[in-house]
Amino acid sequence: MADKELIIGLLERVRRRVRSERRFKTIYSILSVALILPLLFKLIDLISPFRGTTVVVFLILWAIATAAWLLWRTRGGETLSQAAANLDRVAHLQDQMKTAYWFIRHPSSQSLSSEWVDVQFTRAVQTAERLKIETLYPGSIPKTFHRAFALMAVFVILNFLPLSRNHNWFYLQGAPPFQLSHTDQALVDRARKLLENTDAAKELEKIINELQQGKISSDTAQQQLSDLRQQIDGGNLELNNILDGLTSIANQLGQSEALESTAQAMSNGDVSDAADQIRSIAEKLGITPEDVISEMQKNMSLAANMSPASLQDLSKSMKEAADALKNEDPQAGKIALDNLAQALDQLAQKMKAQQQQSQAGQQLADLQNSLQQEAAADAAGEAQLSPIPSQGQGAGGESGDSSPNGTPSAGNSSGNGQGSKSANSSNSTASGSPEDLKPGEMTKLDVQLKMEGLKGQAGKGEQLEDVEEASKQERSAMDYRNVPSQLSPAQKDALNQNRLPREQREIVKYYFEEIRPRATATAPTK
Amino acid sequence: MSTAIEQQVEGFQKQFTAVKQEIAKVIVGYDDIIESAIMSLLASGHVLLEGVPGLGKTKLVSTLSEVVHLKFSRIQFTPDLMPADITGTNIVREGDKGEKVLEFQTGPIFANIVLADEVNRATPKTQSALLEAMEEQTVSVGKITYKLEQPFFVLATQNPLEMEGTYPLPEAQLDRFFMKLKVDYPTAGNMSTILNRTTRLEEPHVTRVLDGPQILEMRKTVRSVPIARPIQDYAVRIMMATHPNTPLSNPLATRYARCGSSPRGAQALVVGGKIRALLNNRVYVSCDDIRAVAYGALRHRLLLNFEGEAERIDTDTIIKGILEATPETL
Repeated sequence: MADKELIIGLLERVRRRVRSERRFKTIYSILSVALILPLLFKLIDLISPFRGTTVVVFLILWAIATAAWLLWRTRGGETLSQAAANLDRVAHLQDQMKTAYWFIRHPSSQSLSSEWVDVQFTRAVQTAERLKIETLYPGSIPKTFHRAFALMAVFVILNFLPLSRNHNWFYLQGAPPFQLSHTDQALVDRARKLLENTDAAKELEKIINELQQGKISSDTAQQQLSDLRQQIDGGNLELNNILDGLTSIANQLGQSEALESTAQAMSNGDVSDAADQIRSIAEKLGITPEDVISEMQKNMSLAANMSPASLQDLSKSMKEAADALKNEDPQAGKIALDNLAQALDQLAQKMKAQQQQSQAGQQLADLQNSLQQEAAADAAGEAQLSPIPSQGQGAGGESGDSSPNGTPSAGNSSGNGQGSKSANSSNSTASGSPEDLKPGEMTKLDVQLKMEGLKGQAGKGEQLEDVEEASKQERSAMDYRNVPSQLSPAQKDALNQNRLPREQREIVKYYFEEIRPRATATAPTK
Repeated sequence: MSTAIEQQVEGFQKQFTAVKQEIAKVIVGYDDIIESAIMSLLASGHVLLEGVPGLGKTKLVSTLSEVVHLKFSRIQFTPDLMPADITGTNIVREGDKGEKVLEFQTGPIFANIVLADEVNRATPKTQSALLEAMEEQTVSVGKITYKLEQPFFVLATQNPLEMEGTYPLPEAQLDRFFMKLKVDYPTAGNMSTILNRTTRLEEPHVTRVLDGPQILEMRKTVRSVPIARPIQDYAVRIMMATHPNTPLSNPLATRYARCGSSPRGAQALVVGGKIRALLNNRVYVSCDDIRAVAYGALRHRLLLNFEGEAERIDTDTIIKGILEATPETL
């Protein structure tokens, strides 16, 4: 009995060894194959980042599939008979243990050759006592372990690569729901820098963060950017008022010979230079003739009176300076002029800030356009997947987008009539030959038309009056920048650039107002 | 008790080795052929030796008969050989009182070792005279059945080249051979030894080291060796794999075999395995033993189909495929 237990005990030990060896081998084999999948997925992720949700879902599915595969392959165990066969093979026992175990399990079969079986059994026991399982089954690392380890190492390295577009899957990171393009990111960075330490910068940061986190849609982000830009553009209007005011002041100050250089600097918008000029005048105030001072005082006083509200501080300083000069007190005059120069410096800083905001507004406009372009491209991609309902649909609008020289223009909002006319006037339109331009459904542009009152225009009368009446033309309440356009940001940028000198803008504006047809009103665009 | 069995095994090995060494005094090389021939004798089987003329087939058989001290007879099979020429016949003889009596005159088959030389040259009718003797160890002449003396051992030879005027052995007779051994050309080294031994005045002499009762005792020893069921199942799987179109068929057999081995093939595998186990000082049969005897035991039991014949497939190739594909354990 003890001999049988010895053999069975030996076989049990062999079974445990074989089982653990098989399981390790199976696990590493499966891992060495299964790890290829996340590795490939990760490589794709480095090129085109996946969203966090996608990564999490993939990793969960992969883990479940791998675990199921592992369980399926490692399930079950070896029987003692299989262990005996394995031991025979490993120790070159020529089926001694297999035979011995079979005769242990089937003692009734020994009846005919029981003596022979006893001899066989005795020899098997002697062999079992001699065998060293540790030597026969040394703990070794399966070859597949190295492959699995290498794949795992590559996977870890890829996740920790310090690349801007890389996301660490170990922290369940993924690409944000909305990924800004490089151009968009550059625009945001520039705008952020220009708006540094302002509320607009915080607002911009919030919009971008919410967009990237998927809290707001691209459309909402565009709307919010538009609002933010309008808020910034409010500052631009103030800057224009300041410049206009400075021009008026400069015109008045230019009457004085001593203040001519100051006026010139103001007229050029170089307020810092104007401040320096004032300081220079203040330095020389003691040796300045009285009539010159008087002339300066007179013009300063007049200029202070005609300053707009946006230049209140400057106006006040100028008035104080004029008063000081009027009192013929050089010391007080110098202090007053210094104060005026200081006011001009403050104004220069304010203008600089306004200019930066203006530039930031331009960046935001570009960003908004870029987002629009991407959304339009996505929509076009989806539209290509679905059948076109009508061939003529949008033909007028599309032809309106094309200029005679073949380049797209910003005429998207001009509607059907204008578009058709443009298309008919040239065969080299981007939308193809005239035969292709079949009448279809009218272009619908969401321009939010509304009635509005018109201000009085310069006419034959002697006085300008605002006439409170409804306009005969409808005007879009939507900013032209928000009208969907198929122009690229670069094309829009080129169109948005105003190259007219500031002093000639009024003349050009007046010219176009004069040549505007008054008798025939343009049919409202639907 | 164990010691007695071990002594029995030891005695078996010594006797086997003695016979082998005595034959080796005359027959140079062919150790495996000699061993297989002795194995067949001890397994109560018969041997079919196939080889071109002049390779010492007949010499091997005659030497074996000299070594084992048994009655030996040689039958040269020719096309005009009649069954009675083998089994014997009743002749009319005048009795002591002048009466006519029929007396059975035994043929050459009434011996312990029978050499059926060029067995495929006789007609099938004559060949079939061996059938009863080989399987039942009896000879029936008229209404009387004569029992052959034990041990009875037939060694047949055939020439694979000269096919004209020969009659291939029928499947039933082939199946009665325990083993079919292929005798190939000797190596250059062995050839030199053969020339030295056969071209001088003195020829090597063999001594008789085994007699009939000893052979019968050895046969009992062989049958006593136990075999575990998994090993026996392995032999069965190999035998079943030779059959075409069965669940255990080997693809090669399915393609090239017309008919597989009979149960006699499995019996030959097991008994041959037992002898080999004893020769290796083991008291149990292993899968290695089964594999070692598989070629001799199965090659003549596997019949090729038209495709196999057309492509000149050797049955050994199919057996090799079967041995490689059949798992030891399921």
